[in-house]
Amino acid sequence: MSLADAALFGIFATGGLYAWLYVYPYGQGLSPGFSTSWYILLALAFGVLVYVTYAGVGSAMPRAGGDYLYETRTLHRVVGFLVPWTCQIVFWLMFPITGAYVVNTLGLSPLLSAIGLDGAASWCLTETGTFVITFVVILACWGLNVAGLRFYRRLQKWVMIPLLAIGTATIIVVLISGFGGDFASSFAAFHDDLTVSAVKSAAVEAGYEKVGFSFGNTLLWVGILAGFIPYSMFSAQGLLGEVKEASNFRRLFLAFLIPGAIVGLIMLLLPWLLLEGIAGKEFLNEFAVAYMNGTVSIDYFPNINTFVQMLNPNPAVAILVSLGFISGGFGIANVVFMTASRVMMAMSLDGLLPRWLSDVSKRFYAPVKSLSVWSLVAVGVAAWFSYQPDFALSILAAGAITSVAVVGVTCLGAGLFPYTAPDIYKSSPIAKYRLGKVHLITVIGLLAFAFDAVMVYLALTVPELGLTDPQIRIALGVAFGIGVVFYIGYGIYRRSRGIDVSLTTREVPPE
Amino acid sequence: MFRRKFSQSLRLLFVTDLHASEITFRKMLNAVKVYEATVLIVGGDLAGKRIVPILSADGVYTTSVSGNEVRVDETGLNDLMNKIRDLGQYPFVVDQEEHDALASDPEMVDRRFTDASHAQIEEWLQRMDDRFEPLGIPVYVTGGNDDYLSIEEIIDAASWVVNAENKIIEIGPGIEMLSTGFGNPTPWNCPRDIPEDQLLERITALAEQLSSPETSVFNLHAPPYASGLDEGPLLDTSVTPPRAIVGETDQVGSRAVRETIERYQPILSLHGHIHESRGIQKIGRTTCVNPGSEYTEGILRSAVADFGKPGEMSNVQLLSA
Repeated sequence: MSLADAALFGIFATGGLYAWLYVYPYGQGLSPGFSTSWYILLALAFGVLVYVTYAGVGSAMPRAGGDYLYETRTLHRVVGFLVPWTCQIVFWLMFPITGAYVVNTLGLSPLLSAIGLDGAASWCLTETGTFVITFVVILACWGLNVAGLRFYRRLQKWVMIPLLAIGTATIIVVLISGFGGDFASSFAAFHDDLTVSAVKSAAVEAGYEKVGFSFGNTLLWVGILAGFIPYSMFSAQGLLGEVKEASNFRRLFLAFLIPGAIVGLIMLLLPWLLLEGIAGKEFLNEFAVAYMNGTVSIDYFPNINTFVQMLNPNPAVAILVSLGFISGGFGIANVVFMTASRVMMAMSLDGLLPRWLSDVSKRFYAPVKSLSVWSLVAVGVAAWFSYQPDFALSILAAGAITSVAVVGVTCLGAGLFPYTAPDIYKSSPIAKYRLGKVHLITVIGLLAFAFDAVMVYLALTVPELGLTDPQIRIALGVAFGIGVVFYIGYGIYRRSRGIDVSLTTREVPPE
Repeated sequence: MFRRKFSQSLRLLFVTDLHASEITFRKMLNAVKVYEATVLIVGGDLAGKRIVPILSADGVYTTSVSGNEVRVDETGLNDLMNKIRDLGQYPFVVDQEEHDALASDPEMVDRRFTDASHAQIEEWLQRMDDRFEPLGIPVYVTGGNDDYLSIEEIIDAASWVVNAENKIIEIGPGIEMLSTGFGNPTPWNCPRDIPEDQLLERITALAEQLSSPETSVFNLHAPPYASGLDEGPLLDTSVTPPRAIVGETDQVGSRAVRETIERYQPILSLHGHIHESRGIQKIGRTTCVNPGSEYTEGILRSAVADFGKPGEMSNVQLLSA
């Protein structure tokens, strides 16, 4: 694919509008002093560091493998297998589920409601409805990947991108046109018996107090959004072998930065600022607090789409915005399928996973076996997510934090790259960039690692994000443990057959 | 579950489609030692893709690299030429007169290209002779469909490297290798493109000489048709030269190669030609390998195959460096 294709792929890797799932109402509802604007900007700032880092290692090693490749070459092969395995196993499984969740709650359900099918819209939000729709999304992702990249490119170009663009444009146009209007009246008209005043009372009942900006309570959540905006570099996590000009550092950086900026600034920050100007920052916080604490009873998930519908109840608006969310949610689910299969193939070809996982179907010219295995496991996780709603936030957070954690380890490797893999580094495009006497990638990589480490630490120790629950920690531990057992066990098995597993990571410098 | 370890009698390192990339070649020279190979097989497409004239004027050197204009002074010329060689291209300095002549004389371009590719291949063979003869590591080379037939005598002239084209060679105990760099037709009418029936005849003539086909290795530049190793870019042949359609692929392997593999079922078949189609696939009992090529990125793609007991292959792996 071209760098432009990689950039478009990057938009869907962030989910585009999907990221709104993480923008509102969790931070506002659970952490006093949380600032949404700073939340988005800090995530984007981290993203810029990540773009430089991944463009640096990606242009130096422009082939399939992603974090597995970068960490193996710059740190150690054990790290290169275990960290991506654990993290990516987790988030590869989470994102088809959470992508489907967005398709459902922010897309399909509002769309059905807009066309008068309220019963169907409500059914979508039930446990069974959630599971069925998730299953359908997984099946669609499986089918799309079996059909091949050719078909996906056409779908992306002619359907998904236009829907995402139209959805975004509709949101922005409606918000702009909502300036100067009476939001309170719009809010009341949208609900049968809920007013702005009632929401304020409900917030107080939930313990809400107006407080000033809290950097700490904002930073606490940045790790969640940082699992998305920086992921416009997702092609570097598995597909660079198929990207033309991937060895051009500057252009690769721009191919990551531009979609990241589009998502962060145009799809998230701009609508938020417009919404704040219309509804008021304080009200949005109060509504979030009341919702998260259950003191206000509504039958929908409050997010940008519902606010837009309040401002303009025309069903066409709801439909266009919903289609944008369906595109974004499906997009993030599908890009994970695409990348997961290629990383598994790379690991299989390197002998780290069973050979049959790299088998390519003679009929479909796709890795049907690995896609099928992945889909079956994803369906199992989907059932857990659907029928254990108390863990919903934990699962959302686990997917985001593991996305961030694996990036952090790669950033560490990138920071050490000039010293741990000097032969590869010195012939790489980023080698000529320095800050004073220090290698640019060292400064940026280690800075990104430090930022990442703080975010991950906070996420794993502060209860609000739901990752301190023992079940989630056990799940993460099990994923890591499976990786350790597999790495050691499969290595023993292959060595017993006379296979030299160390060959894949031996460095070969030019003579 | 656990087998007794057996001693490995042969480790074969297969590299292909180097296309004159100097850095990839230099990695290959080291790879034999790093991977502890006992035999090196260099598949075809040794020659580069184009000449790169560097215009010299008033101490400034100007040329185009990967579509971008580059200007350097005397101090930067060496680095520039090395970068171009690493890309698999042939740089040389010209004055304005020769530059203009090249722009208007395709035959002159052909002559310069042929001379440059011959010189490069000759130099590479010399370096392989110097490197591997003292170590006693056999090296077998074939041309590929992109290589002019005129390189055959250059390869024949090497003192240590063996020209494997159209030969049966015993590369290890009980392991015969059959090689040809000829391939099925391509839209570019390459020097070694031949019709499928002729290719079938060529390979069959060799295979019939094998004493033990089931323990042999087929070293065939073209991958087998519909094998998963022959997914090349779909081409728009309405333009000249044909242009790849981004994101679209087609199966471009050889039916003759596939038929011979299906018939003779060697233990291993080695292929190149389609750089993007790296993989390991099975056709019956034959393990078919295409290590791919990323020479433009300076990445050495290779395959290592281990043979233990005579005629038994214990492992084949794809490697990147």
